Amino acid sequence: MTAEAVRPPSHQETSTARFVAGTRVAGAVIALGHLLGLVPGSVVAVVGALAMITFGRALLLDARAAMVAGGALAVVGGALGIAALRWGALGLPELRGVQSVLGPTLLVGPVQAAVATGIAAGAAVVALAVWLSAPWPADRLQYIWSALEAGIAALAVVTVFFDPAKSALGSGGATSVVVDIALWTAAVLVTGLVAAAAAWGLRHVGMVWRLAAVALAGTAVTVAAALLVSVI
Amino acid sequence: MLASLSLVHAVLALILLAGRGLEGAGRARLIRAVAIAGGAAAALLLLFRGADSVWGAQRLDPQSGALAAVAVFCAWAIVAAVAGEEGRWDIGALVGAASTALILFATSRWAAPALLFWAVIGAAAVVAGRAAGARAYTWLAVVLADLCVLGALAAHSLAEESWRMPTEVPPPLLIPLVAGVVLRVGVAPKTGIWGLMGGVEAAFLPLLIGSGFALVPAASGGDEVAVALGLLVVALAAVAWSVLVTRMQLAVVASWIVCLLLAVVWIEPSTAARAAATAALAVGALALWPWTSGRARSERALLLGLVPATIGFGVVLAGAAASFERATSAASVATAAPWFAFAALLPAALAAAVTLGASWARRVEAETYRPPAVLTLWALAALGVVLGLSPRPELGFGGGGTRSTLLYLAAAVAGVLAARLIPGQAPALSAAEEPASGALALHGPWATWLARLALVLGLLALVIVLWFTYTGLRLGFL
Repeated sequence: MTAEAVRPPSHQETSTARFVAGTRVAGAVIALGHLLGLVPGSVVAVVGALAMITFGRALLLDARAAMVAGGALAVVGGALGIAALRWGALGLPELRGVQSVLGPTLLVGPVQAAVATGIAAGAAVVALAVWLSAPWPADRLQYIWSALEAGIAALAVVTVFFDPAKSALGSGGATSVVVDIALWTAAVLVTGLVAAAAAWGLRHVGMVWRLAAVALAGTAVTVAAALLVSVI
Repeated sequence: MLASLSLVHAVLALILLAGRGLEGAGRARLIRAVAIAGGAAAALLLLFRGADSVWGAQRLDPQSGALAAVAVFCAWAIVAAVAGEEGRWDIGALVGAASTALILFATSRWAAPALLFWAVIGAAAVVAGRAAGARAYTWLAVVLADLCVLGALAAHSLAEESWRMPTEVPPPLLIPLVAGVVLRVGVAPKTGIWGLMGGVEAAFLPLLIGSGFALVPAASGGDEVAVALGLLVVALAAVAWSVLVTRMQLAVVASWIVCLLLAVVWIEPSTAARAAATAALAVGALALWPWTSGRARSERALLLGLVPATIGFGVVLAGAAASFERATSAASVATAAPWFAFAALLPAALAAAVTLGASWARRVEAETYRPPAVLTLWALAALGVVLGLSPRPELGFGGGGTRSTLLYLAAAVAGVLAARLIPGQAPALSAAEEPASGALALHGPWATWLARLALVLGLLALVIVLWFTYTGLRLGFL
């Protein structure tokens, strides 16, 4: 073992490591607060929370990988914005409310609008996969934390595109509440697992492929926006 | 109250003038003590911004009070951190005079005194920048901004026969006003006021930027999406520039953040205080970089990254909400298109801010810092977070309510605890060169001629101000 390998971390490395943990936790708290409905918030607030998590994650990446992660965040933000545009509302309570009456964003016509939001949802999952692909966790604590972040991002996507709740939790019966929570959990798990599986695949390919995936998802969001604007 | 909170800075300038005979450590201690007193006075102004105090043609309101207070605080912070050790009492004295002028400008209800104070800020910056290497185009930018704004506001007042500061101006006058603001706050990377970057003269940057942002609510009713979109595109171009160059340039980074924030203020003038405060804090952090190398990198990156729980995020949030609302309520696709474009580019801008902020935080730098400058930078970062958590509409994230404030506060506490308790993943940091000031150097006869031209134009601006004030007195408007 060389002297270099056992040297203690420098002040700069220690302070950066603390910021990694601090910003990722703070971003997760904000995102969960809004997404779980504890505090009313908007899609932008959720994207901001994801941005804070991205800040912490990007501290672990080199400049090129950080830029790709930033690009993926921008695409996720744009895709969530498409769902907000579909209903003309940025607020999460409004988006939940309209879906509880009319159904999930993805399934409500006209057909072009449903297709547009479907494209945006697909782009969000692809971008989420790129976002999750680096930094890849190295130990159990990091795996748990990355899984939580994947769950938060998946919850954001599900909340705006496929909120399965048929009624507000406070006003429905016990059975309805259990079914809603089960559907919600299943939707988040499926979205998160799909993104994580794609991230695992992207981890084994070069940076160019990740960049291409972000570019493809960004193009898809632009197409979805154009399609949506043409019908609303 | 407004009188004492504004004039105290001029008094501090006089104290520095009286103590100019001191040498060595005594002078350094005096400059630092005066600067700390100036910062404390600015903090008091921030605390009492809602006092609704009236003094002559000035009225203190939360928006203008917060805007001026944070800009003045940042200017004094740079003086405290750097000017003391450099022995530059003149910079401290000029900052004191310009701070009083900025507070009186931001709180002016009438055009004539506002223009006088606007010109005083510019004149102080010109005098302070006399020794800066890039003084020629700094001077030119300042006096051209003066001329544009003086001309536009004087023309508006005379046409309307009203000395009140406008709340919106017609398109022909909007062009010189936009030009004046753009020149004053340093939208163009590497030129203009960024000639002050890299030296102790950078203390003037928050004041110049604050005065420019303070003017926007007088010029825009929130409909100027074309201006905002143009600024956002320039901001993203500056980001691309920052990514492509190998050695970081402070002036380019500073212009990116100023452009982004100014773009939002043109479509949502109610964010002027938040945006100006963010710009002042970010530019203050950048200005201190040469004296904080190797320390407080993550704190600096937090300010520049516009992340939630810092004051900058509130501006992004407000800009997104405003552009989205205007896009979805527009009568036609053609009308909605620029608003859609703005709303679509904003997430990209936020992602760029976060990514760049993180990459700057990962730099391993030579530890050539000065402890007072590091302490100052920590103070600026702490102020950025405290203001970002404020539930008041003129600061924080605006209108989020108590529950939002509690959530962001809980997130900040959780973040601090996590930083202390969770073993963070060790990052692989990368060595980096010391950042360059980024201001274009200009030497030789061209520089001399440009400086002379700037002085002539400056005199012209002074004549316009005096004529305008005289006209007002003669017509009995004042």
